Amino acid sequence: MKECERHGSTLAQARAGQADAHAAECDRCRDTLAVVDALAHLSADANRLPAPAADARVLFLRSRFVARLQGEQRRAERSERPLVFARVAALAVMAGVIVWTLLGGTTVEAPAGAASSAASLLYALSRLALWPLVVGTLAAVATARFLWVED
Amino acid sequence: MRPLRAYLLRLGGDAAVADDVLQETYIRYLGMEPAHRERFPERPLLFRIATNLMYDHFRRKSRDERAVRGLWPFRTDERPRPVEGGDVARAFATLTERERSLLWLAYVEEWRHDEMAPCLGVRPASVRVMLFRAKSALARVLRKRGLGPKEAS
Repeated sequence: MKECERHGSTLAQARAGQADAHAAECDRCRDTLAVVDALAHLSADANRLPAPAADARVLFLRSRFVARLQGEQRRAERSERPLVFARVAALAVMAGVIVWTLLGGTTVEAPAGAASSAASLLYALSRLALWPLVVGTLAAVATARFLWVED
Repeated sequence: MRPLRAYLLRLGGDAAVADDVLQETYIRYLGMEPAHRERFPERPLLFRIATNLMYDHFRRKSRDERAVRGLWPFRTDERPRPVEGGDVARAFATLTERERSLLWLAYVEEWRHDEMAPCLGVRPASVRVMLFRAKSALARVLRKRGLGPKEAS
């Protein structure tokens, strides 16, 4: 079950096509020579066959190029996501403010039964912020849904 | 591509099967997740996929043959299948699939034992013993058929 001690040099000489005096005396090295010769013959014979109709190598390189482009595009889209999200959210808040202003804004007056001026101010602030907040939140949720969930 | 095709041709002994398996190998390879594919060197990975596909083909073929033999009431033709190539190719085809893979990867592709082990699904320590047996088996067949180093050309 063990190769001859000179197996490595026999193999190297056989591959180089050089004669090996040791192989003539050693059964195992003779076997190695026979096998190397036979496989070299089979390999040369197989490489002489005509190539298949479609050159798989060209197809392979082309598809690898396309895959790399797709990967780069995906990476670029991913890195732009926070910016897109921030832009859409800011636009939505701005749109909310504009719509709220066009609708006449909020009259700063205390609701019926308000105890103090602090309470009426809080009420006005909450009304002021309501429109932009609602529209901004909805836009942010919608953007997040399309940007992240479909990944 | 040519070395892989030559390997498949000698492993399967049939150009049509070799081309089918070669095509399937590239389809599998390109279908892999790019990140996973890039973790391994290209050539050993292609040989590994091709070897597994060829073993699948052999298993399927032997299963089909057994099934047909069970159904057919007459004696089936048990002559050895035709092998493309000359006497050396026919001698090589008498070895088992694993022996053919081992010899090809070691002596044609010149892979190290630790490179061959994952491709063939065996431990690196087993490769040495299996390769020695395969080499002795082929040398024995070549001697028996009068195809020594000189006659093999």
